Amino acid sequence: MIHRLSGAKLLAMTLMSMSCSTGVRADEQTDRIKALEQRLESNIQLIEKLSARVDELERATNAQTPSASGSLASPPPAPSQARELTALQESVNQISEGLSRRVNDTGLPVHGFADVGAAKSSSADPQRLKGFSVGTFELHLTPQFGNRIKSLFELAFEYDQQGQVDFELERMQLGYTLNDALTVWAGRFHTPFGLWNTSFHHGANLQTSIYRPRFIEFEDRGGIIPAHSVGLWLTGKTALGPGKISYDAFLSNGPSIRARALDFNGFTDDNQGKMLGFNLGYHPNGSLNGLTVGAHGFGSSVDAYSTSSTVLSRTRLRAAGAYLGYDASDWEVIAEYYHFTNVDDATDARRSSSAWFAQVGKTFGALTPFFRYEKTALDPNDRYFVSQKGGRSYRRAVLGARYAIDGRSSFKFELGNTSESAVVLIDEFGLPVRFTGGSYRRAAIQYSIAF
Amino acid sequence: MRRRPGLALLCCWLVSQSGAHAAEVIAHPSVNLDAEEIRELFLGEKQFVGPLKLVPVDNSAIQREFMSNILQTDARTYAARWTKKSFREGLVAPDVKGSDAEVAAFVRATPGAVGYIAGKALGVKVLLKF
Repeated sequence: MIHRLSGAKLLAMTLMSMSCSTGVRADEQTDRIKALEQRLESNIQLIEKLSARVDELERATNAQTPSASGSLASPPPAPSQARELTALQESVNQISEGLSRRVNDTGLPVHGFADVGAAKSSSADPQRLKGFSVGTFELHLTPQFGNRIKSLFELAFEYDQQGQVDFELERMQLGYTLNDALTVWAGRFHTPFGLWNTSFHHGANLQTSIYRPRFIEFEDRGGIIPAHSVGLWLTGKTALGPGKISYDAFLSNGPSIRARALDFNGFTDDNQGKMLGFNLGYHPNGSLNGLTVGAHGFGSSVDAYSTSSTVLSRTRLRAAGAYLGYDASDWEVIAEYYHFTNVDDATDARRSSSAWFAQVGKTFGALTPFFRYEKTALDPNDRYFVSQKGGRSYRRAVLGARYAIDGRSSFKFELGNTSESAVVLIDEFGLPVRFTGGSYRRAAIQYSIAF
Repeated sequence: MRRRPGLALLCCWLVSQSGAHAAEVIAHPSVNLDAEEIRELFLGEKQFVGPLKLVPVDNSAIQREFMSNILQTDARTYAARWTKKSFREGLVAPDVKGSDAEVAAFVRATPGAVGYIAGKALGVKVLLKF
């Protein structure tokens, strides 16, 4: 899923050349603005001269006016002055129109996020964190092609757990907006379940906490739901009663499980079982403005593969749930619930599991303390979960705070306490792997920016 | 305390004669929006009126007043909102012009354009005064 840095240098060179060309354009733009400002300055001087001349003429006219004979009509302006005034007006109009166009000519804006941090965890933590880390450097671009064609590209660079720099084309979406109620996207996108996955994702500076809830982590970090999808995505929002209703519907390659992690099959699907899902939300206006409530669901046929590409199991993944968000009056609330009713394809056995989290934060000036609780109760016989390294039941409590240094940077810290249940997992050879469970604590800090 | 209705009337008259001109939300003649729709447009919640693509444009000269009076937000929240809109929905934040003249020229020349100015402009439609 993550690709080694074989093409990263090429990509970096491309980005550097993009930034250089942007710099050249910026220089040209600056020169042009300076020239326009000089023209404006000279025109202002001309206006002042003309005003003084008009005053002078008016005074002369008044002096010649007989007091008893009533008013005399002012002499018409000299033809040369009228021409100068017309030319001046045209010049000012040209400058205004030129300046009004300049922002459209500044090229493609590049936005992104970056974060650095440090963490320490107790010995039972499977990740065993004990030092500084470079988080994710993410770039996203949103070139527009006309009124209706949209695009969104996102690149992410990060160190993996082996210390190798990886890069990934996080998103590549090409879209067509029919109206406010319908945009059709095609490509690779963030799977639109719940709120968190599409709201924050790699935008570390956007989210209040340092870490995502564990069960919705990215696929290569132990997430048990595919956070990315490749396919078609319909989305929109329209008025309904005293609020708006939003919807997402997507059809994508179904995920598979390889090397004990979810693979969303970015290249092509591994079987006929496409993933189909929806997300329906309601956003009331008025006193409840800032509230979002919704329901979501998705399903697919998921194969777990051995290292020799043998199918170890096939599960009909079925998930449905609800979510709630509130972002107003200095409160931040986000909660998501998932209920799984998976069916083993070989035995038709139905397995029920659940996962949820709730996070509440309150902003005091620049400081937002928060608390989050997350819990999964996964059936230990569900092959979809036990085939994944992260498919373990756990409970986690997280306490932390985000300090917004300014609108584009923040400092965060958080403390977490996790308890995991014992379970027998299945490894990539189809062999059982006993996980003994246990508890561990984790402390982390992070400095993040957005640009 | 003795009331002085005459003084109050005088103050009202002075204010009315002060020549203070309300700022205006202006649009290309092809656009018709109410106050709530204007707010939604500048917050990235509205992009179209029928088949017409709307093009919002900010005016740095009076942006603070516009954000406070029309959008009921501040510069920091507004910038953060557009960062999220760009990241989540691939939207592009409104262009920022530097003066009434630039905004008026842009709005006049661009079908679907909506902006705001402190003064008056010819060839545009006034949607709202604030």
